Amino acid sequence: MINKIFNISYIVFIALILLLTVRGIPGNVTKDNINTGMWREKGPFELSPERGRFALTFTLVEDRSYQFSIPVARFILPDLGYKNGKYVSLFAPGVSLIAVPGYVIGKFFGLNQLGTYLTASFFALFNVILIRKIAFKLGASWVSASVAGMVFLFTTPAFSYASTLYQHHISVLLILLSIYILMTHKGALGIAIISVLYCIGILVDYPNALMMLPILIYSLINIIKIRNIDRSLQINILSAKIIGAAACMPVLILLLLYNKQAYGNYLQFAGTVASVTEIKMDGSPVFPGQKKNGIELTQEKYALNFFKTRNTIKGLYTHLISPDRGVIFYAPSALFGIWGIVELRRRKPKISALIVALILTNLILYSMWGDPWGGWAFGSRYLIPSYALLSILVAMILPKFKNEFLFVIAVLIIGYSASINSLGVLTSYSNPPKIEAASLSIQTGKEEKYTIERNIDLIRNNESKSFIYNSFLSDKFSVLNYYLIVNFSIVFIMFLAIVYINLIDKEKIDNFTKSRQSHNYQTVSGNYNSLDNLFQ
Amino acid sequence: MKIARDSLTISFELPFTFMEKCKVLLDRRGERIIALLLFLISIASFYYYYNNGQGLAYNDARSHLDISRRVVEGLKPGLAQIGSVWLPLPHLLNALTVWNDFMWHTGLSGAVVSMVSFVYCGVLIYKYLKSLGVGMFGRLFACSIFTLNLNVLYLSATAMTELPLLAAMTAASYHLMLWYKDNNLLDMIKTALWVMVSTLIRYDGWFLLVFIFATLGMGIFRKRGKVETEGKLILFGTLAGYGVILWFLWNLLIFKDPLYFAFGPFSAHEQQKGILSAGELFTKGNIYYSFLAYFYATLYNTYSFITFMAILGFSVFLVDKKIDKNIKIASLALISPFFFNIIALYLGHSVLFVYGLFKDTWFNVRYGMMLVTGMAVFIGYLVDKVKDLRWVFVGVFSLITIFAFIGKDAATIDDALIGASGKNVSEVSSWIKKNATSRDGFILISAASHDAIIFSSGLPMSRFIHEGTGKYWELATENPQNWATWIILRTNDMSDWTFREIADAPGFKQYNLVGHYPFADIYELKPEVRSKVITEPILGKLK
Repeated sequence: MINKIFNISYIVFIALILLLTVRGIPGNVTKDNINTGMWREKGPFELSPERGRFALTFTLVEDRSYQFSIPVARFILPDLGYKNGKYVSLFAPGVSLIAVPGYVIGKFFGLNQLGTYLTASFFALFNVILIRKIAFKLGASWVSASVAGMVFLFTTPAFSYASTLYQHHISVLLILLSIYILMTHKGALGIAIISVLYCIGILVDYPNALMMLPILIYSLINIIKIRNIDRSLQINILSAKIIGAAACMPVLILLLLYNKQAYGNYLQFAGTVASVTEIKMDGSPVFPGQKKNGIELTQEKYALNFFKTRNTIKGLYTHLISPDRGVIFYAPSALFGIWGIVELRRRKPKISALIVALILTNLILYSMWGDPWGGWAFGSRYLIPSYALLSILVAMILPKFKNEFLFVIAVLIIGYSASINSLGVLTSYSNPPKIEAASLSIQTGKEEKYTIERNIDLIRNNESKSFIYNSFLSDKFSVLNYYLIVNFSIVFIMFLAIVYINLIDKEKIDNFTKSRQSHNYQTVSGNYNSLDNLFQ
Repeated sequence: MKIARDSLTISFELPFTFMEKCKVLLDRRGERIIALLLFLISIASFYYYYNNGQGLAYNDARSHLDISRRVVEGLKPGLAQIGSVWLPLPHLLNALTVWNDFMWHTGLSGAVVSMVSFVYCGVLIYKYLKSLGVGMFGRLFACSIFTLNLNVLYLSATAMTELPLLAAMTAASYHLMLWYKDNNLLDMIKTALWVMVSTLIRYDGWFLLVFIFATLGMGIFRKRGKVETEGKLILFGTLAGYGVILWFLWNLLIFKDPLYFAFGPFSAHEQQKGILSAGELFTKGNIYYSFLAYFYATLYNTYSFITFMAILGFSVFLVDKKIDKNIKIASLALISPFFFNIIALYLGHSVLFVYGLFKDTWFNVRYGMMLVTGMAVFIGYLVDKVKDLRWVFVGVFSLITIFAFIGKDAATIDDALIGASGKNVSEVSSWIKKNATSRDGFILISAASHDAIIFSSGLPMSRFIHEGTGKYWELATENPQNWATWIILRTNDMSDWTFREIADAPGFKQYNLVGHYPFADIYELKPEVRSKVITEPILGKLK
């Protein structure tokens, strides 16, 4: 009973915080008002990635089309594509497709933007639950696993992107779910689900094809079994699992069909079509480097050319230590996860190898990316999958903060991280990269900040994007007070949990964990023992 | 093969003897198999870069070939043409084949040396790890780290000195490690021999000599005491330092100054003076900048993550209690280029520009490649030690390598093509090739400034009067109109030796400027005085 109350309270608390921070304004977006300031700069559609994805959802529902009308195309600029005389999306379609139900429900209540954005919040909530489940399965206590979920959502830039329509939380869900399936379903069904999730991942964000590759490889290794029998080597290829792996075909076919419908070619992917910088008054496009009276230029784009090893140094610096995006400034709490790797390696070397592989793939891939800043953003948004994986590992070391000094350091770092990221979610995640801020300062004639100072200024100016605050609470208290309430709630709950884990009744937690885990062994399918071997 | 329908399983059975045979073959013939594979890869690499025209992109590569060629062909051929700045061994090795026009102009005579060195480096990595007790997986992975690096592959296909130096230094490190391991005197002699070879390839080898001398001294002293230390160090020092002594002697005999290579007019020291006066020797006197410049060069040469993997491997290696302390010390020789380059940059004896750091250009970024064999060894060791993560490292390496190959990412090629090392002399050389091939007459040119033009013109070396042609040079710079039909120089640039010598010569007025290009101007003798010019090598081998 206590357990149920704890679980429900936990989920309600997370959901409540997500609701308090989700961006939006009342009303439905229509073609008539889509390009007004209330939706764009001053409203919830600050940046083109969210506009681009929302616009596709909007067009799919309202126009039953894959190509944009002129007003919608203007709304998306500068992340707009052009193909066969039509304006098309430069983003993979998965997020927009997944957001359709949220859009439709929201529209019913006169809140189509909010409904769409809540899709991401919904996925964020699921991610927290999955992190908790995976951490628990890997041996963490329920309380540690619960804190791990909160570390991911509230103390990393994942928080900012839980309140808007980006691909990150959906990608994270697919990765976490795949890991979870890998741990719980060893048979053909498991492989089938993982391969389907892999293909959905591609549909959501093309780089997921590489990001999720370690999981796919890991699961496919199970297809081949090698054994030494009677001085001969027997190689068994489990064809049932091969058939399972083929379950992804419908999703792949869906992606190819979308490409055909949207771009006229099965193998034309979104990011590789010509991009448009401007739309002329007559509705015709202007391409990069082309004069307005010019003709369409050939922009040769190849998917793999977006990643260049030459960018790695700049990328690593940006993601890890730069003041405008670096993990050490925006998500230092996740770095505890590195210690967690050491812990997990001892207990579950194989799954820890998979997690390390995923983190490294994420870091390498987006260090090679031409724009490691992720445009205007808050923290390193491309590393959100790594934050999730590192948070799982944080659960492994949370009970290790018994030393007073370590305890204080851990609480301070987690508190700092939560405070920083609450700033981002409640104000704006559109911080320019340092390099752009410098040129912007010259243009505007005032200092353009590119770190959290920019968000602090917004708080001071009483500016927030929160739907709840702007709709119901703006006349009751200031944004600063709102921020303090939200932030205090998060920090306080996490502090209590860490105190509980480290300073109160360790024995009780251990017993509780053991009883839960043994219960888990009994309830999971009969082949769990062999699964256990897999992860030993 | 069986197909079990009920369980949907397809089974293959391989006889154990077959697997055992494969394993035995790999264990026994691993080095030969690696050598063969690397040999094939080096041929493919040379073929690729030769065909895409990048094989001799470095001006230095062309200069190396020209120096070797002057030993066997020219107005004054002979060993003295080896010169004073660059150390002699690569040129002597090139000279074995450079007499052949095909070998000279394709760059193959220099590339062959690099290709052989490339193969030997791979074999050494394999043997090094085998001696450390690293399994086959780690050994093969380390060889892949070394081989599947476009910077290494490019330098293995061109007439530069990096690969021969790397091979010599790695061989020295390998035998030093063996000596510590087995205490076999022959290994110490081999170490000394390879150190000597490296001291005759590049000055990095001189640092290795001091480095190994010091570590060897410490190692022996700790184990055996003063007397044995003295004896062993004398033995080592005599052989290892022989090349250095020879080089001092050479400079004394030919240039009348044992330190001519260090402070002479063509020395790096003199070149650095110009860079310093332009305020661009950023690393001089700044240890942080020196470290940064070299670290960045290393990162660019290894796609960053390889460096970080190697640092991890090196750290694990150092803390591994199973490895003898002396072997750890010996293995430091693998990373001696790191210390050498930082010290050289700090002292201002070397210059290194990494794009985006200090200046938007490349120069000498290839120096960062010198750590790659050491990195391969430490990564090989790491994957052997951390078995549960070995496939993660393989995956990371594969991901990086695939993208490096797709993006053709080789900082060393950019260094050659767009950096200060790769000035495009094709316009000048094309002009001279077009206008001088079918006509008689000498070309007066400074080899120190324009060796790349000499090479790219495709003309025989005997058509050029340069600083190394003795009496021809003296006479031609006094009265150019009597000796040179064409003069190639940088007008008004006193660092160009031809201009410095003939700027005030009355005969220089008898020439018309016929070509003005970014890196050199071409002057042609006026038609009215052309009948008097000497077009045949009439001085023989006069001094």
